[in-house]
Amino acid sequence: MTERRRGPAAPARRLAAGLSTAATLGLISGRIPGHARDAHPEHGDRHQSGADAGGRGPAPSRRATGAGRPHPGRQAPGTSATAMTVAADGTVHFEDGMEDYLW
Amino acid sequence: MVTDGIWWYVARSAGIVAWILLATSVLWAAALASRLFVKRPKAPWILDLHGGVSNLAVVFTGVHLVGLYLDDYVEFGLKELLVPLTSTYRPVAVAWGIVAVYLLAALQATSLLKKRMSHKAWRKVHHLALPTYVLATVHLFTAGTDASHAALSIAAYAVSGMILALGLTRLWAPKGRLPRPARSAKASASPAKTPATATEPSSG
Repeated sequence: MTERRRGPAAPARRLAAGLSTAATLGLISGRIPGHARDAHPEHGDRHQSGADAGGRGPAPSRRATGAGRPHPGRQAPGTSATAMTVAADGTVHFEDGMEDYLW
Repeated sequence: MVTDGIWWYVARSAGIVAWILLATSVLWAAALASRLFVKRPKAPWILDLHGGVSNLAVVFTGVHLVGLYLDDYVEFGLKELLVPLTSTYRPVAVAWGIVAVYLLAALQATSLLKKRMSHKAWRKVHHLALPTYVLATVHLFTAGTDASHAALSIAAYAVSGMILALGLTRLWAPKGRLPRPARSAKASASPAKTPATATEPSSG
């Protein structure tokens, strides 16, 4: 009677439940490669009033933070060190054509 | 262990696991319908596991929604979670997921009420499982932030290919219910049956 209620695949179902829970916990703990907070959606494009609402607020865009921008001393791959110069005020100057390559 | 933004991780992780469970469930059902497994594993065992995996898919989809609701980094309220195209974040991509949730709810509800409804009606609703899988997959790869993971892409292609192959196999399979070995053994033992009728697959 009990076996009938449990179903013929009860052990396999229990195994599936255990594996699913373990997989979820594994993903949550960040053990899966590439599963990082950086993978968060482009929250900078939304939550315009997030900070006012008490949340963490919008994350600044890459352009605003300068993420991905060339920094002083950084050399574009395959170029000479003089292909790009960064002034003291942060302005970046490129040789002809280099801007398209970088941006 | 990650503690900051835990609900965001819960939502993403449960979403991925729910998709894997849904894919497994559909694949399992396709294997059953294709009649590739007549002897082992037996149909009741496959059906029981199919039901169990489907239940798990519903549970993990629920965890996915709860995680999204409780996460304060991406603000999803009840409206954004339940009404398509109301989300400000990738509204169309999220809408596919919402529709998939409704279809999943319909599948689960009709399966729970199977004994109280006609088999024909239940079967019609149950055919929505394939569109549910397709919508969930589209949602995963358009709204999910883990879509770029090679493992997920490979899994999606592999599962979709297998479902397609099993679906094509089903087209060539004999119509009607699965043959029952016990009955055919009895039939062949019966003197009233001719050998020709005993080898025919039972239809009913």
